[in-house]
Amino acid sequence: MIDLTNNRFVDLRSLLIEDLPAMRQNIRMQLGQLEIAHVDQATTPDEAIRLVRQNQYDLVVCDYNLNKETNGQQLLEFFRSQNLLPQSAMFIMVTAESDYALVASAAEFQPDAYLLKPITATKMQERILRLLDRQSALAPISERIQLKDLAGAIEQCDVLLKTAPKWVAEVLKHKGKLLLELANIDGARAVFTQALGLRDDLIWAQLGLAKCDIAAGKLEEAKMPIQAVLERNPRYIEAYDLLAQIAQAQGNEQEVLETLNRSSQVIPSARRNRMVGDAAYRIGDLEQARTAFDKAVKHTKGSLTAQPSDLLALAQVHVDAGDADLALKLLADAPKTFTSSGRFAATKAAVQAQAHVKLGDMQSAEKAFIAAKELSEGMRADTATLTLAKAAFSVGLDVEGADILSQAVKADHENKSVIALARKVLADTGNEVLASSVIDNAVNDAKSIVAEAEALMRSARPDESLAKLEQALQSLPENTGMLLATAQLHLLWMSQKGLNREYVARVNGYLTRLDELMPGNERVAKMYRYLRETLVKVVKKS
Amino acid sequence: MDSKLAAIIMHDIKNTLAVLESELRGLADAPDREHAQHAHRVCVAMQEKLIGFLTLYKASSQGLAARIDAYCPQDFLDALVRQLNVSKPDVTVAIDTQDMPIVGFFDENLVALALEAALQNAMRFARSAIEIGCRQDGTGLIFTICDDGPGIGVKEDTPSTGLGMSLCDAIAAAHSRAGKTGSALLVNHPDGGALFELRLP
Repeated sequence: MIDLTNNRFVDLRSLLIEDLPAMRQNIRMQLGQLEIAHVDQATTPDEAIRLVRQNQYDLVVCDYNLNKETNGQQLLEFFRSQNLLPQSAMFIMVTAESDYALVASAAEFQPDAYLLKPITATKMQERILRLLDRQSALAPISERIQLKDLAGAIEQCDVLLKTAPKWVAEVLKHKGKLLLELANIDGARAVFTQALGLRDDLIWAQLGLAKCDIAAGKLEEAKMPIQAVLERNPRYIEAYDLLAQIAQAQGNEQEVLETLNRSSQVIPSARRNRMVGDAAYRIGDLEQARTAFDKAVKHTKGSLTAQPSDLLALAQVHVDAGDADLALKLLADAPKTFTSSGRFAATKAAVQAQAHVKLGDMQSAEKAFIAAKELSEGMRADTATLTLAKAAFSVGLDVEGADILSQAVKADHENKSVIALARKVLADTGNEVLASSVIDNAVNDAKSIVAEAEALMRSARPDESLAKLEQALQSLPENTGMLLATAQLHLLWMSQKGLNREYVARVNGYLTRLDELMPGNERVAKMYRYLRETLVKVVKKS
Repeated sequence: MDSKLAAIIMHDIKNTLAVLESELRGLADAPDREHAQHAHRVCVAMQEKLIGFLTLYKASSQGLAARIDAYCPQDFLDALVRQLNVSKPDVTVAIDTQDMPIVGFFDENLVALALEAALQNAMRFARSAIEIGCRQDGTGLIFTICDDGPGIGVKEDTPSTGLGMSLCDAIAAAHSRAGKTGSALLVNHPDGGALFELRLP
């Protein structure tokens, strides 16, 4: 019998994802036996995505075998990578014993628990109870993280290491990650070493040490432990990503591609194929890029997990590879859900323009380019803008192309991938000579705005300094380097002149924007800490 | 996988189904709560047997990989006992917390399967009590199950299929670390009864 004394389940808003009616009814009944009042049900991944977008769930119970296109793991990957589930939501993956080892060994986005079929209400109850226990035990840490107070979260880790020894592994994992985010490499290294003292084959701790090496710039040293992990478990996907990150930092794009390729063989998901496609395109391996984007498009076709950018990337690869007709056909068949987005329509027209040029139809090309330009009117410059620049160069509007390219670079002048792609646009269109006048100048323009503002701050004209950056941000609202500099100078202003509530609000606004633009970034984490320290200092003074 | 073992298990399941069938027929004629609960227990036991069988099949055909994580053995065993399918209501199942480490490293789903099978085995022989424990020594983590039955080697009316121990062997073997693999053993306890041990490196 199920003991429901002190029932903690009543208020759990839950979602059950299962395609087989009998199984769904069965699990629904079991959740009912646990007196979980709110249970939404989805029979397909798309239905689940719709529900998750509309509701906030505390508990998701998902079958691994959903349909041919999307399994439970890919669905979880979609939810987590698109930030659709609240951090606190518990995700339980239901698998058959025959799938369990394979699924669990390669999972990139780990569910909170696996439950083997057949499920009984008691098993479900035990698992949820343990997850709730863990959640409440680790709440002091997650609350600090929620407030972006990483240093405070680390303090809470230390408290829990003393008071909640049964969660020691979990707490050490958090602490190591937090220290790395704050770039405290030695601290992180000590924590991962401590974890390996508990058990020397903890993969997350071994990779944690490798991450410390990467953060310290010791790239070659970092490789060894990662390769050792892969030798024992060739399905451990995070290890491939770290190797790719190292190869990227070493400028070895070919190796990035090879590593990502291996990872996509382990998990042939749309996301993995997208990563392979991007890496292949960067080094001009059009055939590999084509295969990868084609897989990503086919994999998600007709599903809500489909991403317009995959289709545009595939069309662009077709054009570059000399198959302009394939590109036009692909774009003409784009689903309606994509074409309603202005950004998609603009980029689509920009690729069409290039395709028409390749087919020698200059009239259609110019028409498409004009359409692309009109559609992107008023839109913020971003990577899609690079496609427009490429279209401009293709139709022979070099001056306009250079201007558009320059805007795309200025929009986020510290973004290395934007700059690399901008160089590629010039190379692909035979305009390498423009690289220094267009790209370098754009980067320098943006840099000089920051430099001037810093100079004003130093020469005791702090208000002018802030005004300058505020004005620059009006036209470049997503420039991450500028946002960071502006946040920093506002804090500097306050540490000289005292608390200013409006500036605190502004800095919080910049940091929120940065969080969206580059989630989990170490520089952003440090700026949060600087904000906290500044506030402590100025409040004490006043 | 041994085809003889497969045949024995199929035979066993066929017999269990026959029992269940007759119970259900009786229930259709005269619904009765106690009988229904018994039929349900028979059904759960058969399910567990099938999962064990399929896990073993998987182990022999593709190998079994353990997903090692940190768990609190006491919480784990408490949950295991709470969800235990008790076929003999007069047998008490207790957890001995002495020497139990606060944290242990193992695959919770696989170890639960192994211990459930070993517990069902102990349940068949126990007179009045079963005790479960967990301790740590230089070689690793050791789960133990003691019963107060007649010990091993006793003739039974319906002999065991051997599935439970084969499953425990396979699950122990899936837990490997630095060249060492786990093991499962069943021996007579010096104080009487049988002692099962699942040793995980």
